[in-house]
Formats: sequence, structure tokens, C-alpha cells
Amino acid sequence: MNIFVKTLRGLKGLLSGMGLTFGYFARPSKVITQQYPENRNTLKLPERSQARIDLIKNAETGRYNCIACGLCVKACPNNSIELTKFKDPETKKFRPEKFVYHFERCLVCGLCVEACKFDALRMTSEFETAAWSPDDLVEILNKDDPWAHDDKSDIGQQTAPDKNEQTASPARDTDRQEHTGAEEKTIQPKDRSPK
Amino acid sequence: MESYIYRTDKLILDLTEWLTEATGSAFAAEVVKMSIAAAVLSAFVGLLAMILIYIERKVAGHMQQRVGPMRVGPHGILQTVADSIKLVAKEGLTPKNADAFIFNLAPLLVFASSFACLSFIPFSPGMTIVSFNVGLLFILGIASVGVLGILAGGWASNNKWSVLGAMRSGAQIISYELSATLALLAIVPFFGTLDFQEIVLSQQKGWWIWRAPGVGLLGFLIYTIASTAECNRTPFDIAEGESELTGGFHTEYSAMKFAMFFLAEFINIFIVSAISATVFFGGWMPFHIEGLDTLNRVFDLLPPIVWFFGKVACLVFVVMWFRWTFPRLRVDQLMHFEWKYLMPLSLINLALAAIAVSAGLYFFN
Repeated sequence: MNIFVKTLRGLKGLLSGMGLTFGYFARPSKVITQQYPENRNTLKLPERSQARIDLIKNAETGRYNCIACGLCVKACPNNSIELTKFKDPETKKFRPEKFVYHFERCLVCGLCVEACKFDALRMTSEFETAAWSPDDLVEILNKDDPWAHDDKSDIGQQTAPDKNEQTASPARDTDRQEHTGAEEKTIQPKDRSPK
Repeated sequence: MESYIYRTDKLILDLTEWLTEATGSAFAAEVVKMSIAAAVLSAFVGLLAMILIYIERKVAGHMQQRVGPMRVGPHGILQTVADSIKLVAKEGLTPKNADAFIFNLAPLLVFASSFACLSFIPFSPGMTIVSFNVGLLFILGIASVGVLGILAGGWASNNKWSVLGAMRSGAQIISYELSATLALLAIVPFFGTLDFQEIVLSQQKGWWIWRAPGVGLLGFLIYTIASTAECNRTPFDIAEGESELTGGFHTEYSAMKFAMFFLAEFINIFIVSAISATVFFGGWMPFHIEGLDTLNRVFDLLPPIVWFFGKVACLVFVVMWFRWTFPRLRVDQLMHFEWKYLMPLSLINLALAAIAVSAGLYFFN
């Protein structure tokens, strides 16, 4: 008798599978494929899609949540974050001076976002990131801060060190002195080069 | 002229008469007729495979919440045309250590056996390329020549995956052929002939799937399962087993040689569906219910060829539906299923059919 029960159960399983696939077949509205370049304006990205990272701003104060602790820098397997910080004289707390994101090295793994304890980083779903040269992919993420506008001439590993000193942006210097004049420290990424 | 669509037997007769007059001898007329048939069939095969591949990809897509090909032509209808051009234009490679003669012969064997089967299919009244009084038996015989090509191709490729795939394929086709043949054989006593046109004509009052009580339905189910296995299609695609054998017996094939295998695969789907439609669903015979004359007239409005292709299309869809729903069986499960369940079941079915026929236990007799 067992074999009949088993056969019936198997048949039921097969038929329910066929019912499911026919259901999908009969209702083209259930299709989840997106015709990407054509529907670019109405593109629906899944909630958990992740692309390049971005800094989160506090809605009330208009400041970035980042306190420049450097956890993301340490978490990044590819050294794609460079971070310099300074102490804000008003709040007596550290803030990022320059949060440099090297997207050309980023894996979009999300480890930095996981490492962040201050809800300051997030993965955006901005996936159209093609550029003409690797340099175009380097970006300063806290660019709304007046001292860190989009000047990439002094970004560490893209330019030679001596050039870095010479062409330190005047805007950056004045801005920083206005705001702080306080101590400044660069958080070095971990050395992960093979030994 | 319009009646020719419905009375294709008359069309064939008139054509033969005209050809005999024009050429002067019956033999020459037959030669010309066969040449025309071969040309039409070749075009039909190419077109059929292209359409079936496109439909297969669309069905696969929509069953998995995708859309299938969309880019080449509106809704991707030219996709298979583009693919065919690509396959024709590619270089036909023969591996260095392969047995070149057998390697190149194998796709031809597979294709030829499928192509030959097509000439027995009754498309419409009188429209069978070869009228043969043992057509059904013959078609089952030729169909198994294909497995020789598969075995030869796998062996000659000099590649362990190909040999494994070919061996699996051989074991599978030889096993499932028994069930497929027995399932068809169970219906044969009811109409007492092996000629396809006569099989169709015997179903004027009703299709054998329900006229033969129970036996017809069981036979149809067994034949559907066994023929799916014979076509090497999922859930019985262990011969290819993309994830295990990188393609099985056709791993080393490219360009036109690969296209031949591919073409044969899709013709085989059409052939098994056509046999199933002819034996169980009345072939080109319109659907009739005795007593309801008005309804029967409405059904008669559709030409027989439309009825035939409609039935075949439904059955092909079912086979595709299987492919995109069921998971693949293991080799031992496959053999287990055939030898322990399917074949005894088809033998029982045959015995029941014999009893039903001798007792006159079938509808509308």
C-alpha cells in the first residue's frame, strides 16, 4: 500500500509544481525581469540592491553622521576609503575632513557599512557608475562640507607625495583654519600588502 | 480551390494525375512528387526548428518569471534566425584526436533518422509523404537509429564527458523505447492497423484516448513519459546534464554539426507529439460529438491541417512545460523507474487492452 501512497504524493508534488509554473506562464504581469535601458526612467530596484556607498546626513542638523572613527577604513578589504579628520571646535567632536572614496577599487561588498557603528554609511542603489578614467571614480563623499569640496588634487595614492604638499588646496586650508585650527590626523588604512 | 484545403487527398490525387500527364510516366511523376516533398520537408524542418526553439525559450522565460529573448526583432522573434546564421557561419571543428569519419557521420545519422520519421506523419487527409501499411512500426524502428548516432558521436569525440553522456543516453533510450512501444501497442488492437492514415480514419467517432476505456488514458500517460525520455529532455536529460557533463555527447560539436543535433532534438519533439496526437487524439480529425450536428459543422470549418498542428502544438507545450518544471532524475532512479514501474505498468496496460478488445468493451463500436 505504501507504494500507492508514495506515488500519489509524488504525483501531487509534480502537479502542484506544474500548476505553479503555469501560473507564472499565464500571467505575464508577474515577470520580474526589467528591460533596463528602455525602462530607465521607471526602473524599479529591489529594496536590498546595493551599489556605491554614500554618507548619511543628519536631517535636523544637516551634518554628516560620520565621526571619522576609521572603522570603515579598517574594515575595507581593498583600502578603498581614505579618511582624514579634525576636531570640531563647536561640538568638541571629531568630524571627517575628507572622506575619500576610491570606487575604482571598491567591491561593493558592504563591509564598511556593516562596520559603521554610527549609522553614517549606506549602500546606495546608484549602479550606473561608468567613467572615462579611473581618476573620475575617486570621489570625496562629504563634499557638502565647505572645507572638503570636490578638489581631488591632494588625494594620497593618486598623486606623488611631494606634489601633495605643494598643491595643497588654498580653499581647504582657509576653510579648515576658519573652522578649527585644531589637531589633524590621518587614519592610515591597514597594510594588507602580501609579505 | 478552397476545398483543396479541406480535401487534401483530392489535391494530392489531382497533382499526381497532372504530373503523370506532364511527364508521361507514373514513375517520373513519383520522382517529381518525392523531390517536391523532400524540398518542402527540408524547408519545413528548418522553419519548425526555428519556431520551436523560439517558443521553447519564450515558454522557459515566462515559466520562470523572465521574458525570454526580447532584443532581435519585436519580442525577439528574429532571435533564432540570428542564431542560425551564426551557427552556419561558424567554423566546424573536429578535435585533434577524434575519429574524424565517425565524428562527422554521427550528426548526420541523428538528423537523418529524425528526418525520415517525418515522412510518415499524416499531416492532413492523403498528405503523407510515404503511405506505408506498417508506418507506426517503421517509425518506431527508425527513431531508434538516432541513438546509434548519439553513441557514435560520443565515442568518436574522444572525450570522457561525451562518452559518459552517450552511454547514459543509449541506456536511457533503449530502456524507454520499450515502454513507448508497448504503450502504443496497447492501442493498436483497437484499430487493427499500423497505417497512420487508417489510424486517423478509425477515430471518426471519437478519439482513442477516451474510446478505449481507461487503457487509452493510461497508454497516453505512459507514452508521454517514455517519449519525453526518448527525446532526452528534462526531467530525463541526464544524457546532456549540463551541470554534470558540460553537454554530454555533443560537448565537442560546434557549428553545423551541433546545429544538426539541435535540429534533430526539436524535430523529435515534434514527431513524438505528432505520433501521440495521431494515435490518441485523432490526428487531423476534427473534434466531433455524435448528435450535436451544429457543433460538429462549426468544428469542420477548421481545415484538418489546422486541427493536426493545433493538437501537436498542445502536446509540444506539455513537453516544454515538463522541462521547465521538473528536476532531473539520477541515472539509477531513471532505470529503477523504467524497469520496475513503467514497463510492468505498460505490460498490464497491454493485457487490459487485449481483454477490452476481445470483449468489445470500447465506446462507439
